[in-house]
Amino acid sequence: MTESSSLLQRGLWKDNPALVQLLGLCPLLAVTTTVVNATLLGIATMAVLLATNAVISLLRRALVPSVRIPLFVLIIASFVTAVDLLINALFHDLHLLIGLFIPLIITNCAILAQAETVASKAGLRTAVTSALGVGLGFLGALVALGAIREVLGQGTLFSGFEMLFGEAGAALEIAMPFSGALAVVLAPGAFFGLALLIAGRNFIAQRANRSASALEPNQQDT
Amino acid sequence: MATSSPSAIRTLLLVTAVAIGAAAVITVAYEFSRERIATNERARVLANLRGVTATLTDSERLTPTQLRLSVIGEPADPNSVFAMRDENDAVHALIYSVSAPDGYNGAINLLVGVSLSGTVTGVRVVSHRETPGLGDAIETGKSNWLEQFTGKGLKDPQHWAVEKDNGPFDSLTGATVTPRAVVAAINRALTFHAQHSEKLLTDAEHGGDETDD
Ligand SMILES: Cc1cc2nc3c(=O)[nH]c(=O)nc-3n(C[C@H](O)[C@H](O)[C@H](O)COP(=O)(O)O)c2cc1C
Repeated sequence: MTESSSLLQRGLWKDNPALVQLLGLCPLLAVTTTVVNATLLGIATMAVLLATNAVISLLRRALVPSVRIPLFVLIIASFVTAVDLLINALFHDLHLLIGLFIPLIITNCAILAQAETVASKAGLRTAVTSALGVGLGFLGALVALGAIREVLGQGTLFSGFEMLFGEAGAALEIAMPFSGALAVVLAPGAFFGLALLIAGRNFIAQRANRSASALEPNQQDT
Repeated sequence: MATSSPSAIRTLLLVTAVAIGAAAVITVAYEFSRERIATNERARVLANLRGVTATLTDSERLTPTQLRLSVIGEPADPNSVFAMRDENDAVHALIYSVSAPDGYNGAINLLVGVSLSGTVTGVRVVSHRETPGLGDAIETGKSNWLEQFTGKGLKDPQHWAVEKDNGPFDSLTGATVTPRAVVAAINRALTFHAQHSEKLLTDAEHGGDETDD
């Protein structure tokens, strides 16, 4: 495996910010009532991750250890503010729905963790690749949870995409033959849905581990 | 200062540079968004105002102007009032922006359109924090619950209340708090209209109008 594909894979699967590290759960739980909300917050988070990792990586030789954390936060906060403004300008209807949670991206520890452990130590390519992996991993978890909650809670899938893609997006909506259970839309649904996703991920990871160690019988299980 | 170490100066320069960069990023985003956000806001307000008078004939040619509440003197219940006029400046309806403080999760902000004869032309929720799946059926996009108020007036029905309180209005399944708050707020808008609309309109005729754009 090449270095960059293993970096991508770490963020996407092995160290998935939402499902393994359990970071950024506040917006994750709050906005995953529909796929469209989850998609926009996931993309916004990824954009902030890419921008902050790139800038911090470029600045890394000039960084002063004693002030690095405040600087990281300042950089993250200004990109989040910019993204918030842009979303309000371009996707006004969606901003009315999830606008409250966009500033919370600043508090997503996955971004600060990337800044501290990767971007401030690595070159631009590594920093951006790593941000892409983590961003896609977070987006994937958001969309998966959004899909579960929208189908079971609201009885639709991909509803409201006209807010993202204009009129054509409305055609994406798929109606389920049932009307959905309220509990799934409310906070408990978010927690149960996330638990299901984490359990599912662990199950798959364990099976993969087991078959890998079956192939290499000499390797000690750790 | 002569005693400051080189690293202090370096730190200062670094922090300043990052702060300037951050300010630049935000400035660019702000300049790009400012006009668009303002346009979006205006479009949303206009769509909402037109929405509550959609039951009137030719509602799309009506344009809103904001009326001055200060002529009432006493603290007014609505936050703002708009007059919907046609191209000849004739007023077809007044729209009251009112707040129901007693929603299940806090204030529910509503627009209530009232015709000159004192009947409701339409109601829309502008913002609320009611529970998704329970109280949020008051949103126009989620159910047609608000439509039952169209055509109603202060005297018709006599008793402004939901069925549970022996009134004529449907409530929502498993949610009575929200409908109660909305019914009371619409009733307050109608009462205000009955008491004050003439004064507001007279004031507007004498140039007290504030145009809304
Ligand atoms: C988590 C939760 C959220 C609720 N949200 C609302 C709400 O938004 N609006 C509302 O009117 N009632 C809400 N209720 C229900 C009220 O507590 C109350 O039971 C209900 O309004 C009474 O309705 P009923 O008289 O039709 O049974 C909620 C209840 C719970 C447990």
